[in-house]
Amino acid sequence: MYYIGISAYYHESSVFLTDNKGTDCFVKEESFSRIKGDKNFPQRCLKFLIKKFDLKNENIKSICFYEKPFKSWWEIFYYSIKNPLQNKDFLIHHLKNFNKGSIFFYTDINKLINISRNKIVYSSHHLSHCLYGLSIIKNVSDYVYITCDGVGEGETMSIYTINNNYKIKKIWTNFYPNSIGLFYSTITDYLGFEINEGEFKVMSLSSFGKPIYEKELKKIFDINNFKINMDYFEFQKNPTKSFSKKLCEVFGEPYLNISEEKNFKKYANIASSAQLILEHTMKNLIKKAIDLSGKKRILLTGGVALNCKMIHSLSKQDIFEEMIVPPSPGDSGSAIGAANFAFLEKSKNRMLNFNNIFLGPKKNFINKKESRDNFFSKINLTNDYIIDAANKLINGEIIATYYGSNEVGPRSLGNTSILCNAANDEAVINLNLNLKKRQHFQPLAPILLEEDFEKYFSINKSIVKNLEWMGTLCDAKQTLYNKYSSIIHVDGTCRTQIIKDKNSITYKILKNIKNYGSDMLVNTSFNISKDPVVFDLFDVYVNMKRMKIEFILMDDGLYQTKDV
Amino acid sequence: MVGANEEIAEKKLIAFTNYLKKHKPLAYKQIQNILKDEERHADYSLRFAKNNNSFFLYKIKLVKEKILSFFRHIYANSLNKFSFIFKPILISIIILISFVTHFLKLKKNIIDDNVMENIDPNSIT
Repeated sequence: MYYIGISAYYHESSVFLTDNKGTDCFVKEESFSRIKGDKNFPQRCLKFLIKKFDLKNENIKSICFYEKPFKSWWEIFYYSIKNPLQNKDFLIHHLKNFNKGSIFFYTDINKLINISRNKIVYSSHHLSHCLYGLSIIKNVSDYVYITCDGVGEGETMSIYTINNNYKIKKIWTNFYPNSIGLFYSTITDYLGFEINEGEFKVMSLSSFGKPIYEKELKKIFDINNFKINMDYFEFQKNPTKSFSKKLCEVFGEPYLNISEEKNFKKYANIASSAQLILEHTMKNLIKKAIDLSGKKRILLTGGVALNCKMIHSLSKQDIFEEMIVPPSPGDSGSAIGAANFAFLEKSKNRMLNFNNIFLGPKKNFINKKESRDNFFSKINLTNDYIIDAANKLINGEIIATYYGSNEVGPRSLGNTSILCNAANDEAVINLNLNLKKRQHFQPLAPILLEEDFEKYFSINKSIVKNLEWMGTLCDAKQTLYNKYSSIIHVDGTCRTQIIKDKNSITYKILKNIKNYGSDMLVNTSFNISKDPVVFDLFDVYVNMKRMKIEFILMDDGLYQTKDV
Repeated sequence: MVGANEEIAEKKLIAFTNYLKKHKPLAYKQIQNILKDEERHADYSLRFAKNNNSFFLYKIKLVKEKILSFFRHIYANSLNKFSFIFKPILISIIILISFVTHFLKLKKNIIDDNVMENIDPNSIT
């Protein structure tokens, strides 16, 4: 019997299926629709799962949606309708989207599977985030669970605790519009980046500036009481712009061209100040959570937790013993939390727990063997294809990887990646700017074996676990500057990933490149900027051709693209 | 079959870039680069579809996509006209709703001693 969790209609729709007996499958709608961050009802995901697992009413135990649909729609509407004429544009937009929203979840799902109504359950938005976090740790009662995102069912920050009998307590909540997530998104919008997509660019940009606008921003967001000053915002009244004229009076004209040096400096300073406000707010939130719960181990979820620079800065404040941010703390990971809700709701005192971070489908489960042979030719017929791949990487070749199971979070962790030699500056710059088409202020991330980490990096022990899925930054040591300077960010940090699993192909490649005097690769997700990560072999082929990458490493060998 | 939709979008973009060429040459150059990349994307998509479908099925699917894209573009171009009719109706509805919303405040809990027990899993509110 399967448990299914669904997250949809707001950002990055996804579905997670599990039988809690070893069959797990996490898929995102964007993988099928090829629209980055696709928020529509995940019908393509569900069709894929229905076909692959022969899903029907009889073999489904429960389907859980990750939030309360009406509450989620209503809470935002309720706030804006207090001033109906002033907020009319937003309200009209919100009303128009009523029929496209999650309120019709049951109808949407019934078009695909004829499922009994009593098998459909609804979790709560922040609870789903929290339950996803719970599924990746062991001693659940040792932690305090903090969820912080833009908004979900009117909640913006929540703190939970849980005992060994799985009794979950909510010990504090903050409500819309007082949201640090929306504050950061508004700055993202002001700087000209896309909301829900560009926040990580603001984070990268912040390292280039100085927080000279800290005083001004503290008037906009009260970091001690977690209150927002709505005079500077318009997200409650304007569906296309989230900042008001008053914010422009403080910082000047928005959407400047940051390729001009003068604008770049100014925007970097604004980003740096916003980043500082975020870090101070989170520090205060963590202190509050520790005070209320008495626990010093933190599990942080919600979209805000994706800010790895913040995790790194917080670790230096020595306010907690341990902090874990799961691989997919945003809304898409909540599908796993929703499945966990369904499981806990039925079993009462048991929870889903995963040792593995690769919960997506295996590559040979997605594709037919014939489609591989149509587009790729195997160039290595012996078993030493990993040696061959390592050799090519050392010689400056950029190689795509497509093996094992898919990753859950927004970061590719080796199984669906593009790799190049971190010591080869030319290859790194070519990969970043020409192939991936990223901005010059966004550095690429290194990947190395766990045993080599301390040779090049330093990190506070409290956040070390997050290195397995690029969940935090770490500091570069002088040895790294001597050999791999092109992967170091301007502030001396790197978003490093360590590999522990000795059976993984990534581990074997890293082990092999050591024979050539190198011990680090650059790992970036297998997509072009603004496109979703590749899913099937067709995406792989098209993206390789677009990026002019010739070689790809799959489960059983090294392949080259054919001309079709 | 993303190729067909991209072909129509491409025609519109070319007309727009011709306008930009005179006024904003830098933006024109950047769009040309994006266009080249998109062209390659559309090209490979169509080639893939060709290889994975029989000749007739490919032609049928292509025509279907082209027709759908055509209507999608007509709809997108007429959104302003639709809103001219519907906006006053929606504003009236909003004003009417605003009078009763005061009584429709949903329950909000700052704390909850037993979340799983107090949540109604079948409720959407």
